Amino acid sequence: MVAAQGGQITHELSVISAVAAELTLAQVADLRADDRIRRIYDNGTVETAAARAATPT
Amino acid sequence: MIRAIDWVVANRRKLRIRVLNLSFSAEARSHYWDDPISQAVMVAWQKEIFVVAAAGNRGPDAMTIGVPGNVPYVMTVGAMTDSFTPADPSDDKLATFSSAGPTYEGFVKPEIVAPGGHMRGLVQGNSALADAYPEFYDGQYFEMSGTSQATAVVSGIAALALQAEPWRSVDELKCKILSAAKPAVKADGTLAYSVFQQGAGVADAYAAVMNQTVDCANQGLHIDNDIDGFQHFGGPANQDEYGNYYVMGLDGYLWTDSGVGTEGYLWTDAYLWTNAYLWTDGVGVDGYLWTDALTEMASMASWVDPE
Repeated sequence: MVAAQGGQITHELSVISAVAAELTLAQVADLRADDRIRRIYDNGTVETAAARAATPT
Repeated sequence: MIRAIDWVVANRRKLRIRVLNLSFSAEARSHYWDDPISQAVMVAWQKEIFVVAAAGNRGPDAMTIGVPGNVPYVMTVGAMTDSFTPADPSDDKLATFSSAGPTYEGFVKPEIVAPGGHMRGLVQGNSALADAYPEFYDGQYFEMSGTSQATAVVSGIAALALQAEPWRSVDELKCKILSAAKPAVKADGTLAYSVFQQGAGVADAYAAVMNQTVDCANQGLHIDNDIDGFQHFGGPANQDEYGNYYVMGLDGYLWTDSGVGTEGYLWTDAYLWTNAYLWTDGVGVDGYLWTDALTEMASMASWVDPE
């Protein structure tokens, strides 16, 4: 489905039955309208849970 | 991150992976069951990989637990510090940055706290960490504070316990570790920190390995249904009319706004948890099921009172 829209699959994420893909906003809109697709998420960032407290901890 | 978890799940048998340490955090943007990282983490737990996740460093305010620490199944870890006096437990205290629960779905998190202040470890000079934080690196050892570091301590305890009893399930292991923890209490016997800050208390490696209590964690949850989308779960935490957080069915577990004090407290096993204390009784007396019928808005608004 991603390929049919002209998108580029970058990773297979089989653990959650998903793929990661590079898509234009228009492609995202088309895919969202496809009821075979449950959800689409933006990629996000995580941070290492390291603190820099004002006082030494 | 999902690819990394995918790799761990795919290689768990070949490499005998039993513990997965996740020392990272991201702000929760959805229910735990809708989050892609959380979904991957849940699959790891379902496959009997013991997942230990950082609470996050956005404390001490309530409801600051990140992803994937907000996943109810996993062991979520907050940080305490020895105040630079390892031989003197009387000044041990919760780290001010340690994120606190409850989660949006009403689960009590973190489950446990562990040393997370000025932790030292060997790090290679060409590593990303040494590059990013040269001020914490002396060329050999890296020293940093965070729930990341505390998380690794609990992962080590999990590995120890599994070494002693390799047949334990992830739910049994979670119970062993959290029910062996030592809550911080004041001189009058009351909790020094809210259950939403310290969970069951500070981890005790020896007690956890020896502990034979195994049926106290993740009771009432159904991970297969949760992953498949048939059922989702809420925890026993609630908010009263004054904005205080509490565990339903219990008195005296209120989140207090006094936050994290500067004084130290003893971490003790003298505190009597009542039988009603539901670590994880997702659908126990006071828990409830989320249903798919709830809309996103309705479910966000109704986490306080769908009893």
